[in-house]
Amino acid sequence: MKKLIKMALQIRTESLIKVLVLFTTLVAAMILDLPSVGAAEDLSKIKWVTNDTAKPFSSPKAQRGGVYQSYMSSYPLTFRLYGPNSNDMFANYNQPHCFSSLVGSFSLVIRHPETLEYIPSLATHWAVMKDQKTLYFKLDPDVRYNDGHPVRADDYVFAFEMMRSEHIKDPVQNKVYREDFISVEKIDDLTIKIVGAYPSWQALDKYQITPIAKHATVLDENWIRKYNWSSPVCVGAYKITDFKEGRYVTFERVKNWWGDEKKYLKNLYNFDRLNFKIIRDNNVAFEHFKKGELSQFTIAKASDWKNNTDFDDIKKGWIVKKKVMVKGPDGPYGLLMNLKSSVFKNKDFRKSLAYLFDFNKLNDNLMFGAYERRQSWFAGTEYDSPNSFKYPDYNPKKAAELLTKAGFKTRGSDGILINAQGERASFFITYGEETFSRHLSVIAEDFKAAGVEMKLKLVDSAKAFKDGLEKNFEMKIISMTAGLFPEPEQYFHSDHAKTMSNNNFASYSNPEMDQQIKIYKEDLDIKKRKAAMNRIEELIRDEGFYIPLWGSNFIRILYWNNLGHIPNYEPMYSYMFNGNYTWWFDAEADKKLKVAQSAKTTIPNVNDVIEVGPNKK
Amino acid sequence: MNPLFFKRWNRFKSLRRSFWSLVILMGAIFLSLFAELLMNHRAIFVNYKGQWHFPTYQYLEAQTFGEEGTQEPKYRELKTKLSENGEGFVLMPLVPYGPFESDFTETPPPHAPSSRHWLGTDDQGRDILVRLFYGFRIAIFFSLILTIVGFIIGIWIGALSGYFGGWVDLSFQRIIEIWSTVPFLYLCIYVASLITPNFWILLCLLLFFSWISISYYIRTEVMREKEKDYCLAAQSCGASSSRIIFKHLLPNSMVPVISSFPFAIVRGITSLTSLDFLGYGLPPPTPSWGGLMQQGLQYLHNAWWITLFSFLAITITLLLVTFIGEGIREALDPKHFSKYQ
Repeated sequence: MKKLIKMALQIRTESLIKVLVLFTTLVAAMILDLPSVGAAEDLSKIKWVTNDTAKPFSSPKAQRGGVYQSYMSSYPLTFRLYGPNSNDMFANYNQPHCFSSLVGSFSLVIRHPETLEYIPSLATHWAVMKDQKTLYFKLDPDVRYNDGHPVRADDYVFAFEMMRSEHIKDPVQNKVYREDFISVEKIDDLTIKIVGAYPSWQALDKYQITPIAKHATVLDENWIRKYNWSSPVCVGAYKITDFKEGRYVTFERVKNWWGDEKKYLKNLYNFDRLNFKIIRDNNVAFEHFKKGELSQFTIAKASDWKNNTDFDDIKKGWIVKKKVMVKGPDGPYGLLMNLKSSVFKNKDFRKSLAYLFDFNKLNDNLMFGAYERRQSWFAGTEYDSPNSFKYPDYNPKKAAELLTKAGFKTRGSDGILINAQGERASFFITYGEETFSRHLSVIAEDFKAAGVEMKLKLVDSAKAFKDGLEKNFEMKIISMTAGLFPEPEQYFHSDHAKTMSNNNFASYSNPEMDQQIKIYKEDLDIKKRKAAMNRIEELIRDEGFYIPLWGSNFIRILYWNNLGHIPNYEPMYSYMFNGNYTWWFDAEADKKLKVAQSAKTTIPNVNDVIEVGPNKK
Repeated sequence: MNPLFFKRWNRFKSLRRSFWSLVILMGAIFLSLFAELLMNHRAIFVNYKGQWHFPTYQYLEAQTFGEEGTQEPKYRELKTKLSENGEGFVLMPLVPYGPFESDFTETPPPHAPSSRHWLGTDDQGRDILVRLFYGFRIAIFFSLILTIVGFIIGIWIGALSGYFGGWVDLSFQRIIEIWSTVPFLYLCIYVASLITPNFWILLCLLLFFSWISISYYIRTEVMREKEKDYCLAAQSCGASSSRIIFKHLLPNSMVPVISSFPFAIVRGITSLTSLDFLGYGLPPPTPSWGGLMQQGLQYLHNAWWITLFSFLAITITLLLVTFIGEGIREALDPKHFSKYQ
């Protein structure tokens, strides 16, 4: 005993202090749950996850080759993937993902578009820690940029820096990566660690980042100008090789693309070249397609599908006509009232309008019965409960009751209701799509019969959207795309009600809504989240400022009979046709088509079945 | 009325084509003033239980006719109902459909010409004959007001410019030169995409540019007349400038005004129709020929009647006005048998 004490006393004081410090740090680390200190992180405890059991959604019959001719209605404003003007329609083709926005761009881990399970993409293995905000990824060493340079952890750290940088002038990306992310760290060349700002039940969807080529990007204040028209260096299968301003943009396939060996990415992106012509008018584009200058055409209007798809080439089987049933989430699409405008301050007045909207009349007479009524703001997600939730049907009697309750008792000399203060029941609807005028005219007539005047204000579509952002409207048409999960915060949080340039167009503000949004965002129990989402939809409906219009669960396409496709035509979670993704140019079918065209014979049984797709009834 | 006027009028009358064009056009304009009595979804009069009602220009509630509610009754159905139960009778206009009313009772629109809708319906089920007629009224009055007011402004500026000469003339001419280089179509498109124009805003917009051509004519005429003896005589008598201009010079300068009047009407109708066709004119659901033609273009293959009838309407109207214009030009020509080569 005495010897021990003597030995302890002989230890030098510095070592003792070192031991004490180490001890306290370890205790603190355990208490505060800090990651272990040291240059090399201890990754041995991590349970890495991967997925090699999912079924590839591409077709093994796919052939490489051919040119895919398509069109865009306006020349892109930039080739950049971030920064001002980069999020236009062209982003769909440029961000070389060619995925629908549901399943995410070229990220570390993506969702299978049929089953929604996670499958490896740029990362081979991943791990989400219990705190639901720390993630680790093992990078796939084969991933290369389209100039051959390999992708490593430094590129991810650089991407994080860039997304937070002011030089890209992209406030949306800045906000996400400054507020929702804490850090992106390099553990070693092939391992990275991402830490998010708060625990999220969709941590793997939310806390991801696309790598940016550090060797090919100079990030300074000239970044926007310098990279405006340069072909982006990225990990996708196509590269912009040719373009003529205002005329066309051409992508060519990257030779020896890294994805060609990967289980889930091979047999995709099968065309050698993608050519996008600029054709401003859709009717003109249809004529181009009929002449054979476009490979495929998507029909947007029900009347076109009924009347203009019966011509000779379809009857002869040279052009294939298919209605692909899919199941994609819809964003809000309906009439939205500005809660701050004086005419809509009365809730009964707002709710009466919902009873004056006759969907069946519009659908049967103007749209050939092609569409379904939407009954919620976020339709088609797993949070939707279409059976338990409903918006009012057309009922002019109930509407009249509500109007009287709102104080509009007498009709003026022109038939429009007036209330006790002498205000007329009259408002403007701002919209930007000319094709919608005829639907609105019919709705306006119904409103007028009940004594409410809706004046149509058609402006330029960019101005209509801008007016929405500036909250300069009384009623407008809201039409937004949606992600895989509902995102109520951007639309309904009271923080956004007071400011401009956000998606809370109606200036909706309600403390209970804020609470429910918080539960939905953060609770890890799906039952609680579903209950919160249900309550959110109830609150929206009861406030009466949104009248949903309609939606469709299909994509109507025509294409020349020389293209091959997966058995179900499109993956389940698609909302637009993505021909340059799973489809290919079938040389055999092309030969048959050319023979049939020169001999003017029919290819049999091509259009016997029109309704196809993964969600076919 | 001086004998010169009668001479010209008789000359004009003798040109059968122009004279009858004038008659037809005047008749159409007169009828269009009563469009609501000729083509409307509201009845001309209703006799219900001995009481007379005239719903054409006023809003009557359904309760007035024994139905419930404050909305407007459907007069066509009221007609059959009252004739069945004998409580009264209804007289509907010649064409019992309104310009804003969609007819969904049959197959989905657009409907081909039939006994119900004589010229068919557009893609929203609205009767084309009715919309063309109401559209005619809007187009012709737009053009008339545009031309008349534009002429007044142009004549005034041209007369001042021609009479006073010197720096007044110089400055006006320079202003006109600069003003006429403004591309008026782009301006209209720009304004239309910022605010939704109504009838009067569009009128004012086009008025900015329509007075220029007539001011050139008047300026030349006034300059020529100014040198004549009667003007000199009036000046030496001490007449004021405004008296000389308005009493002596202008009445003798009216020839280009009258002969260019019909062609200015043509220009007015064409401008309004073109703007409507492009989508930058009168807002929906205003009945307009240009809007109908734009719709017709989409339905060219299957609903040919939309394009055909709107095209015929505008062609016939412009032809009539042009014939009138030619007739006036010939009537005002001092030489009886001049040949234009």
